[in-house]
Amino acid sequence: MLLFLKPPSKFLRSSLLAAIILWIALPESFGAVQLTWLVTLDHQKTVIEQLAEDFEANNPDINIRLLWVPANQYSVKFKTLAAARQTPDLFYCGDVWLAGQLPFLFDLTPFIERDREELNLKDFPPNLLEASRKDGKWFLLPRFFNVSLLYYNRTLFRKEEVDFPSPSWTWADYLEAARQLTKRNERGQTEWWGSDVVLGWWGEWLTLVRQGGGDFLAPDVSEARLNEAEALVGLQFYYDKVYKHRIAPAPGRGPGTGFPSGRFGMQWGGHLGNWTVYNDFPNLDWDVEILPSGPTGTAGGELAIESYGIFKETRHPEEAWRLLKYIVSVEAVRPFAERGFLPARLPLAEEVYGSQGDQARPRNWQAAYRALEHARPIPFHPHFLELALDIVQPEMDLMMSNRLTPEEAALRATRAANAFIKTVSYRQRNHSK
Amino acid sequence: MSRRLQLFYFWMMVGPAGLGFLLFVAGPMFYSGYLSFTQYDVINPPRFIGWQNYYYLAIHDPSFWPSVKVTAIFAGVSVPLGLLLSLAFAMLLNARTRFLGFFRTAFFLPSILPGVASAVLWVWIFNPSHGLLNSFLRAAGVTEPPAWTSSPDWALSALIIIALWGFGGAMVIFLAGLQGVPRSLYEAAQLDGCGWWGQFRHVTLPMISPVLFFNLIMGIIGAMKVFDTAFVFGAAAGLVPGGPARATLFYVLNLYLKAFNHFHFGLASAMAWMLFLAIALLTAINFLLAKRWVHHE
Repeated sequence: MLLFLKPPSKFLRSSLLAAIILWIALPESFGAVQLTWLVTLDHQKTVIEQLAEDFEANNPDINIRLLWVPANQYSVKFKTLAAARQTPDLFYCGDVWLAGQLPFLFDLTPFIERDREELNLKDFPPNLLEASRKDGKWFLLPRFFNVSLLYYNRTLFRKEEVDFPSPSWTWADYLEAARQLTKRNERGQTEWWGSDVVLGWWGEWLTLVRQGGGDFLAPDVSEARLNEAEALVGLQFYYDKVYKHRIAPAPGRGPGTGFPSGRFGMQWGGHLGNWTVYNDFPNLDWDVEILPSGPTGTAGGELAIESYGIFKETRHPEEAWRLLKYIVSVEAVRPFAERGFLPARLPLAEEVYGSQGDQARPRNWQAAYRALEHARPIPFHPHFLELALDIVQPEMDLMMSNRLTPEEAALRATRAANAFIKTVSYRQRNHSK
Repeated sequence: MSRRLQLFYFWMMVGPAGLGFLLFVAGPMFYSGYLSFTQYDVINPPRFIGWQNYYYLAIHDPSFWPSVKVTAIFAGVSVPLGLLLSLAFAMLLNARTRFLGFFRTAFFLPSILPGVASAVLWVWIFNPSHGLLNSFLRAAGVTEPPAWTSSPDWALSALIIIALWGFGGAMVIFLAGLQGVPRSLYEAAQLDGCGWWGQFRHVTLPMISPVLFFNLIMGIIGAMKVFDTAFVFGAAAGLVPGGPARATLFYVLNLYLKAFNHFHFGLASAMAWMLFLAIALLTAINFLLAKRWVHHE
């Protein structure tokens, strides 16, 4: 109250003003350097917080500001921050984002050449490193990956006395096993399905299209090619699983929880977080094998990578590089590997999964590294997500709801994707250059 | 008070609101009009491209016409059904019965629930495999109940049901209108030999026609601006926004996705202006038609 009654002395006022000016005007470098790190919320928050704390303890000259964002809002948040000229110093940049985020990425080549030995690049499978480069320059360093694999329920296979999948399986072997696993009751209702189909995103249809010998986009991403004969082979196989062979349920007709429900024999899967999710179901005895070969013999599918990069115009490249090296290090990735993420460094996977022997989930974890030989990243296009999810996926949804044939869906998707690529996307890409 | 002083006070009172309107409503509105003729991704400055955004939307965009169709079907079904339902309940709640206050509150309550909360609740009810509704239908002997959230044939119906659940707002307005109808008119109609239907047709309807007109206009505008329920419905059901197969891709949801998911602000601005013109046109038509059926004392 006295403060209101008696104005502060001139000295006090001047000191207060000087303190405020100093606080605002002092250069950041006077204290610790602050680095912002954009992190998706689905990544074990407490582990990331612990990593940041450990790093700060060992690097007292750096202070980390974690920016959390829900995974499905990641792209929006990133672009909004970039538009506001507040691009984070370090950010997540998986294969899905690389083409769109390339203009914001720092060329890591000089750092990597300098610290090559410390980084132990030989620990990483070559195609994970290849996916981190563009036009000979390094932009990212990978932490985890996953790849399309055939997931299977060992309990159902044993129950129906069907041999477990093997690396030599073809689509025909998969169909035969799925037929044997599909069981209907006396009322015609399906008790167990031979397989699930991945709906709502490109995870399965893109893999099948590629296994059939086709692709979604031309190599130079100038046009869509889903209506070519080779691509149609994959789409037809996808559709036939439900409507011809009846080994998989139509949308909304199977158990809502999908593969973890224990009522599916197999699943074509490749999502980065699958292993963590499936390990949360203690009664689900599951394993993986490389995908059955398609008509062209290509066994692999989509390669999904979780990598990190540095903002091109960061004010603290050396400090950001130190943080990046730390978060891809064995020490920082180990806690995630122990929680079911698949580390990009093979020796770490051997340490974590290999030491568990038969207790490892999945037992055949090496299949993921073998599948890498045939895996392919998604097409390198800055509007890939929009093309795949907003333009093509609705046609796939209609096909899987039996309202379009594969030919009709492919034709409609190709026309719409090409119109987008040649107008909106073309203009925007040229404008951004 | 001198005229100068009056003017001073006038501007003092009107100024802040006027400035706010210019800065935060009219300004952005006209700027979006300009953006609709540009290529703009927030990162790079806008670039003028003429009518190309409008052309792409009308001719090539695979989602534009489906979103118009979804919105039109939704408005065409949910607005008349909503009006019927809310009028029917308002008439029931206008009767003199016991626990009237309780019933009025209970029926009004869903309309004040946030759209997000009710959408999450309904997604659980509509879950095809373990939702409340399908469990009930299975128990009643329906072997293959609808796949509400994952079938393109049923998803929009589910959203219409959710919209009807919130009929309470219109109901309260009807109730107020019904309470303003003089009892003497009903007595006169009864003396003239009118039954229940005759009284409704010749007394109630004409007397509440301004209220009906108000609810109709607000219902149409609301239906054309559906966003939150559709957005949350898709997210909570694990669908691509607007899915499955664009069955719940409402116009404003499509606009939002173009602007904030894909940063095509030019396209989104063009969509916003098209919506503005469509709503203005529909409202004008309704006002013209209203001269034929809205009764003003």
